[in-house]
Amino acid sequence: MLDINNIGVSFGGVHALSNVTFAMPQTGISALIGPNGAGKTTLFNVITGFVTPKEGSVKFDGKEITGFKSEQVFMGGISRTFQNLNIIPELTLRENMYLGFIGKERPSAFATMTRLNRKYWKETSQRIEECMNFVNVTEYADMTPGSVPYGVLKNFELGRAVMSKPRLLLLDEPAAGLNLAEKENLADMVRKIQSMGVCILMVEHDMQFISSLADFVVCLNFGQVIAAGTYAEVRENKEVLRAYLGDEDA
Amino acid sequence: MKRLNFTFIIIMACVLAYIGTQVSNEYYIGVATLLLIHAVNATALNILLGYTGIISIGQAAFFGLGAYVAAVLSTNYGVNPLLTMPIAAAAAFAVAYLVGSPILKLHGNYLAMATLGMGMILYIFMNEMDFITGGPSGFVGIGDIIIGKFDLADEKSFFVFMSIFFMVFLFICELFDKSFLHNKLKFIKNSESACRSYGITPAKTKVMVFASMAALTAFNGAIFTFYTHFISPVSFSFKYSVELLAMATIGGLGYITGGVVGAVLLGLVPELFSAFEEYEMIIYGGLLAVVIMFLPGGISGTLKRLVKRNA
Amino acid sequence: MQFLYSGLTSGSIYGLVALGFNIIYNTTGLINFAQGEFVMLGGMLIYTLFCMFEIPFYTALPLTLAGCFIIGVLYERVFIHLARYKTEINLVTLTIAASIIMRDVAMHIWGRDSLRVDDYIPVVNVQMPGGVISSQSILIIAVSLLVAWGLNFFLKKSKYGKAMRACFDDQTAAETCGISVRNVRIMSFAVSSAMAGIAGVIISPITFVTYDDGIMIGLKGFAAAILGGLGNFWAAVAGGILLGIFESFSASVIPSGYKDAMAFFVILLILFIKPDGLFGRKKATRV
Repeated sequence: MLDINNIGVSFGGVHALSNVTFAMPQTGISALIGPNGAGKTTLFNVITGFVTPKEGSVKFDGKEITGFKSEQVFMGGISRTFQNLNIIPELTLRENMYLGFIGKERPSAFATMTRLNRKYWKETSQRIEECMNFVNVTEYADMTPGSVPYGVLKNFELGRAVMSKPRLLLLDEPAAGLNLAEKENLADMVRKIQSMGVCILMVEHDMQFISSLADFVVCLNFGQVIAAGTYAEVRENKEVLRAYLGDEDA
Repeated sequence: MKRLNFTFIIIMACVLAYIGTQVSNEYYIGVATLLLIHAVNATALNILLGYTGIISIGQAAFFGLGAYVAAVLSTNYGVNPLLTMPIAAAAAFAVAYLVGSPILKLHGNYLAMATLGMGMILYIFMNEMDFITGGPSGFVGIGDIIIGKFDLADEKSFFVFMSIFFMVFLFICELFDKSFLHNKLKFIKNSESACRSYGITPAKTKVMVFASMAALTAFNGAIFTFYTHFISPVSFSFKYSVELLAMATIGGLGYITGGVVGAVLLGLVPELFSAFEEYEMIIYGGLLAVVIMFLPGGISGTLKRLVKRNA
Repeated sequence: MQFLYSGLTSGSIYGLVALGFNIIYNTTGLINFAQGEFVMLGGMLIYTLFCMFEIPFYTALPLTLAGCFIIGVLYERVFIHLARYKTEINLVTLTIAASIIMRDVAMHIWGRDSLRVDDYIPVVNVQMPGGVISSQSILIIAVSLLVAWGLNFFLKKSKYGKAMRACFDDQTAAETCGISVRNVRIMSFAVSSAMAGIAGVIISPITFVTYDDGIMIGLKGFAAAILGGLGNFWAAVAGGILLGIFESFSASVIPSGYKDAMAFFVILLILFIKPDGLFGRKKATRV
């Protein structure tokens, strides 16, 4: 699905990523792990075009997407979520849901500007309701995010990211800050999305969350890939243990 | 999606109808016309700053650009005044598009300075190109708007014309306020990186909004020209841009009512407190500072919160 | 050559103002739109003390600078500190509000006329290769360079200077290390006001001083700061001098009425081509 080839990024002399190479399987859920500062989010930024790599290439479905702008990456079928929620505080959740729609369809300014284009207005409103149902937030629809539980918002953002029907979904620490029940909810959501045929790559620290979901795990440390394989394989890997636990037992 | 809320529009329509039919003092009608013109400008800035997050301290320049284009075309080339308005708007659109494409990549401080610089350049040109604009002493001899057999020469008929334009404008604004486009602009204002990862190109949208609002302001400037029959660069200086900024901010950024409330309030300050005319700018500055420091959302936002709390 | 000399003179002033912008930007990330008003204030205070009350110059100068310093502190306390919602756009608008208040207060105190400040040193024209340069110009250039050098020294060596630089890099980290961000903030506003005051004092014998001088000089100072690149003191001075020379050369080519437009043209051009300035560094941003 995604072929990362020899990616290198540096910020003012600091090598954030160097020689990162791995291939993501065609289907299923993959996870990117590693200690803080290992370069996971940077890699996401490279894939989604927020950071241009110094060297190397990213291929999506065999097509080169290196150096694409974020908008182009999205149009190519890759959606992502951010570590911090991107839900606008001054709008209601229903209005926030609309963000998932605009990009792909590119309605003309006139169609969106007034309600005079009844057809567009009706269809879009209806589809937004459907999406609200899909992520189970209908009861919160008219609230602003400030008064909605965090776990619901996480679910909401996840659901919104698949509204454009991407083929690959990148999740940046989806489970961070959630309690156990909320995590289970979220895991269900991720499985539901995966069953729609969406391939998922996530950055995550919660190993339990990963073990229950991910089929393929890549571990980064100091900007380099130190292990890749199934969860069990990676867990047994000496390098990975050293990265997480320190040097004393090596 | 939210329901349309016509209360404000109906109130405005009633007020305008009352002034149009009951007030006979020409001076008051003139003040009301000017307030409407300010209100349109302030609302345009509000859409830029409150909805899209583009700070522009060069709005007066577009207002002036429209005014001069209309004045020159109608007086020197005999173009029908009504026709000069769209031409003025198109000219401002083109200028704003050209300038906007590079400067809208900037944010906050830098954008404020860049728009201010752009405003200053246009202002200097208005002053210096005296062979076209008449220079600092102004441009005189501008005609009237003539629609069919109505000559909008007196205060009253011009007020009616301006009121109709204003009500149409307000209606479109209300539609816009509850539209999907409004949501899109708010997304851009709050997080450009999120927008980009959802396939929106913020730069494009921002330039379009900037240019459209410049066009609107210029159209309004053309109306202003035919109202005053005399224009000089002083009306379009940095000071007016700041006044507009004060109007939009005090009225309430991000609310359609904001621009109108701010314009009426600040526009009335010099009328009501003519004894304090000297201190006009201090009052503006003081109000602006107080509103920003203590009343986020300006008057409209504060009222709305109060209503919500009591409801 | 004559253009070069007059450009150097006005350029040094722009450089000084640009330094003031830089200090505040470096500690708070804010552009102070009222910077030019402090230049005006410096000129007004020296006029009041030196010409009206006829206090000897060497007493009037420190008094003026102290006045600017105190008003700078008040400015920060009243406008910046009290703001409840410190978003960038709010703060920008606040400094604009502050600048119009200062300008109009000055108008009420000192009136609308240009005020002439007496010369501090005897005016002699010094013959230089290709033109003449007045002793006043030399004074301006020398003071600007001296102030820039002193400031650089202060920031590199003194405790406060180091604290200021720490605040620019990371306010939270600085706070954790026991630096009072609040004090640094006040200090930077005060120092930059005093610097603007110096600029006001040294130019007022040449250009005189009017209540609305602030807008133009402030904008040109900002243009200089942008030209050089914010965040770098020597770049600010260099930017100012470049802008001054550019302006005086352009005055020889195009009608002088457009001279002021050149500064803005430079701002726009730089912002288009290289927003970090000619000598600026990029500050890494996070998505």
